Amino acid sequence: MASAKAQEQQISPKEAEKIQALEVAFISRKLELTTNEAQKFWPVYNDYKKEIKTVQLTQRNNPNKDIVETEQKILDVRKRYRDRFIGVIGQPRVNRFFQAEGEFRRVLLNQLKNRPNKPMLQRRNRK
Amino acid sequence: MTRNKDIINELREISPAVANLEPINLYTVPEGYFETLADVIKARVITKENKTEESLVLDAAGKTMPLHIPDGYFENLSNSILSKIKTQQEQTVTEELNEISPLLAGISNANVYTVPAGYFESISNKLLQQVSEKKQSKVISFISQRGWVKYAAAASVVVLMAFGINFFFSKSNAQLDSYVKLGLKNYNSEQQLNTGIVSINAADLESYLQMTADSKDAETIASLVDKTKLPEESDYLDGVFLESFMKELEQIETTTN
Repeated sequence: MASAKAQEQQISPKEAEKIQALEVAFISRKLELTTNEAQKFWPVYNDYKKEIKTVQLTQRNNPNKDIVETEQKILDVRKRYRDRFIGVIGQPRVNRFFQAEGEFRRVLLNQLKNRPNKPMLQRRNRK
Repeated sequence: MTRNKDIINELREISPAVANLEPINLYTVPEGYFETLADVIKARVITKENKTEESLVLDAAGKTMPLHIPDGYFENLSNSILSKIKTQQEQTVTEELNEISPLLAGISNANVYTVPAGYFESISNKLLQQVSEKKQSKVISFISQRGWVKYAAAASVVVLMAFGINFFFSKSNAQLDSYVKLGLKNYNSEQQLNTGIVSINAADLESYLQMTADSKDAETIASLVDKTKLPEESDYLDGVFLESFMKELEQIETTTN
């Protein structure tokens, strides 16, 4: 854990935007929104992501951070937005939405796992 | 009259009383009835030709018409009706009106509307004079001779449409961050999505996942990116990697040789 933290670098804003955009596309595919629904859904999603990010950032910079507390805060945001999402796309697809979020994360983790970023594998990147 | 055995058996089942009745024909005709019938009918027809009761009554009535009209009745009917009408006291219109409505009869029937003398004779000339006196007003054609007006109209339509579209999009996307717009615009097909995911820079992917990690997968990420750890067997078994690794080896060999 400590080593992972030490290796943390600043992500390039462009690449971060790309990953977020990919998540949007991924969720969009899973939800099959109508034009009308999409017009209402994505602004809420935008706000939701903003709040999640805020919680994550404040907790990361918090020296006395408590893992359980962080989870609770994230959960609070998700609960609050769940109700707003239900108003737009209904309960079944809200479940699908949160599932898709987790799924996308697993896709990224899989990518990371299969990427040649390990000592031996990094040889490929060397030129 | 013989009876069918089956019918009798069936009848016994239904009603023994009826079945036990003797089959006797109750209806009879006098002897020799049908032999003489034709003669009897013929004889009756012949007697009808002679005087019967009905013709006797008609004879008594005679052939003179009981009702009659005076001579020349229909010839003079119209004349007599007309003469009767003529002999009636004739009433003038005013007298009749007086009877029906004295108020209406009291109204003078003089024409209250008048026109100046010679009005209609001179009106056409007057009108023509007035029309010709007026200046001819300018006629503005729909199809303007000036070219720039056409272009200006087209341009204004284009500008309006552009504003409308812009307004529509700005309205629906005003609150959206650029990544949402990007995601909805750029990765519409599964192919695009997949290539997009594969093309994420590895280092950025790692820091992104760490940045957004929750406690559950923080450990997973840490183990995935722990560079001090040797790769697992599965990492080697990646076909793409093996291929590139072999190529690399070849290259190293050729350069060192």
